[in-house]
Amino acid sequence: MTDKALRYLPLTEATYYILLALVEPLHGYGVMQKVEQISQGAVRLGPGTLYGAFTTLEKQGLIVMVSEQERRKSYALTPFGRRVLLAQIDRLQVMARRGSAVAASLKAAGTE
Amino acid sequence: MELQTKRLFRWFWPWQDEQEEAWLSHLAGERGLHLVSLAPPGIYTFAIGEPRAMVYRLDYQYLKGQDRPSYLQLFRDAGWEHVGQMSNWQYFRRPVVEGEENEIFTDPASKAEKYRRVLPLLVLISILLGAQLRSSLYSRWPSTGLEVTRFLLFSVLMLLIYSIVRIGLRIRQLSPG
Repeated sequence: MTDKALRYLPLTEATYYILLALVEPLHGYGVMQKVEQISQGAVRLGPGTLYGAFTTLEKQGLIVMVSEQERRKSYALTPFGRRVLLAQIDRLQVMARRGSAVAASLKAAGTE
Repeated sequence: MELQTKRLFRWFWPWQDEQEEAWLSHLAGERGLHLVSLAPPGIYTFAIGEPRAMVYRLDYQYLKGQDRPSYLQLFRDAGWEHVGQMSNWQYFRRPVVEGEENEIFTDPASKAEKYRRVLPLLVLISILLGAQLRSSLYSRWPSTGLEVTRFLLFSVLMLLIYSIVRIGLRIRQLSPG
């Protein structure tokens, strides 16, 4: 396996949600609101964390600035960013499937 | 009514950013001193007013001219007021509101990144001071002035190296594994 996308895994929870939010172009504050919403309130992004993530992800070529209006820069995923995100989702699905199988047997054992 | 101001001097080392945040919050909440401006090497100008619970937070960013407006806008959108900057330290504050986010860094990874941004300049200054100290040791004209210079160079260099170690430890603490 020499897929370059795998080098960026695993993403931190914050980065994962930022990439999820950027499937459509959004500016910083839009990303903050969307991430809080789609994570069901579990992940709140501070502006320091988000600005740092934008800088790093742009440098790594996972996102690109698509417009700037009234001092607000909007970003979106690049094709490479989409590949990284998909690779992460595949991993998470394996984790979740294994996890729910174990959770089910633990719960069954716990009720005996 | 004219704005009453008070000026304080205080020196902080780069690994003391959290102490500095706490100091500024304390002055605002207990003594009604609200930061108006900053100047190197540690001159803080405050407006004298009513005590109010405020959170102060420091980021470290070297901002190129074209990045500055969007950086400040992002913080403003999130409810943070930019009070000023000293070298590359960016000072933000917001009133304490129950249930609102009081951090500008919301995970350990991004906080570690902030400290990683602090390191290169400290390392660079240390190398320059070290080179200066080294050349002063080989000076062929010993004098009291030179002794004093050497001593000062050596002291500052030690404090810088101490700062680098402290920041390195902080980064390690924040990194997983």
